[in-house]
Amino acid sequence: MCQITKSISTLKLEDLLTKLSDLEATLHEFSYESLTAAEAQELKDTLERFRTLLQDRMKQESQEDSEKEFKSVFNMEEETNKSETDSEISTAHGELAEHSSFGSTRFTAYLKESELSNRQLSYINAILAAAEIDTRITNDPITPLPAKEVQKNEDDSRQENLKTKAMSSTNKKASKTGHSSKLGNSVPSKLDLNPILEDCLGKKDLLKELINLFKRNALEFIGQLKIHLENHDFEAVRFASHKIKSGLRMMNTRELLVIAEQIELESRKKQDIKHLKFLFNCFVTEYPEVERAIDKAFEELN
Amino acid sequence: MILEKKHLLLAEDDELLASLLNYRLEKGGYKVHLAYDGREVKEFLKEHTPDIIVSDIMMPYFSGIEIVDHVRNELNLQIPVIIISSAGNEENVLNAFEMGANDFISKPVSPSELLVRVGRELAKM
Repeated sequence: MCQITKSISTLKLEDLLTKLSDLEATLHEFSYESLTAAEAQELKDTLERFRTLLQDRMKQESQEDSEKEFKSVFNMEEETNKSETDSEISTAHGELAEHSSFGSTRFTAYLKESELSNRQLSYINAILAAAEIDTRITNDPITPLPAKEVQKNEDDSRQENLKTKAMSSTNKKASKTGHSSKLGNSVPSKLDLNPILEDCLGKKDLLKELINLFKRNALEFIGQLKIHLENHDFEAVRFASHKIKSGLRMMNTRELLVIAEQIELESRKKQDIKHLKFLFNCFVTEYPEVERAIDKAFEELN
Repeated sequence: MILEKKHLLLAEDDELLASLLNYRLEKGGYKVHLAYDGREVKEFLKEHTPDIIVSDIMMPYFSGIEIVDHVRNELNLQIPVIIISSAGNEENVLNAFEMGANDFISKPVSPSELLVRVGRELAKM
């Protein structure tokens, strides 16, 4: 990130600041349906850090001196730290892609037209890649992604996010409860119903009955949550999400369990109804796939 | 000689878990009475005295802690009470113990483990 800032600083800093302000203005319209509160905060923080760096630079030196100093620092680093720099490009690319921090096509077009070295261009390419992803949150009317691609980006991003959180939270639980074999991976199409079948003493009829109950409970939960969220009834949301967890855990549905846990956690804070609605939408989107996976797993039982 | 089945009151508002535990406890030789919320528990206890109670903490109307309080301080019953709690609910478990609960089991509940705990508590009587 620091490298990117340095490379960009060879441009006119005042212009960069202006463009940054433009970018921030466009980001006011980002949607909570696409970003969680935490992600939105990270986005803001990233932009703020970038702005601070630019302002610091302006205060320290005149534009000419700044360019000279940057080039000398840049060259020095390039010689002594080439591999580290390459790794930083990759890291910066990852960070940018993850945070979707730079989303203005005007901004990137401006950077593209500027006279830049190859290495500086590689930084800009990282920004461009992130900007491409970012079109989904800035609703940029100039270069919107095709609907399918936007959906895919959202799905991939959400899945990754949930997978990471699932791994993190379930691993903690696993160490606490010793149920590591039941938790930890996140593949909705592969569900293992054998543990619950064992609890049912191998009685498939009972398992079938439990699956039907699970489906009914999940649909009831969806209906209840929709109403509670409309009423901003955080306590009812917390209670409902707490209750559904037991069944989700029993059916080994890790993805939905992680979402329910987050809904319960967020509803305790009683602050962010938009984030709760986002999580709820994740649950609703995920549920049919999980239901199919359960049916499939049941059919495949010996 | 025919041994009479022990009566167990299972208070659990999650139907899924209640069904599974009910099946396993009955298979384990208990006569299970199901209650899906705290109010049903109190209603049942007005007319019956089970040999043991297994109760979830978070339930509509009356929590598991309130049930323990009711059993110990209002009904003055010394029957064993096992609390089912969610992981990370240690404070509630402590409260339940203070009220007079005998044991607790964390979710996810293993039916086999519950059977062992129930048997152990009844053996103490």
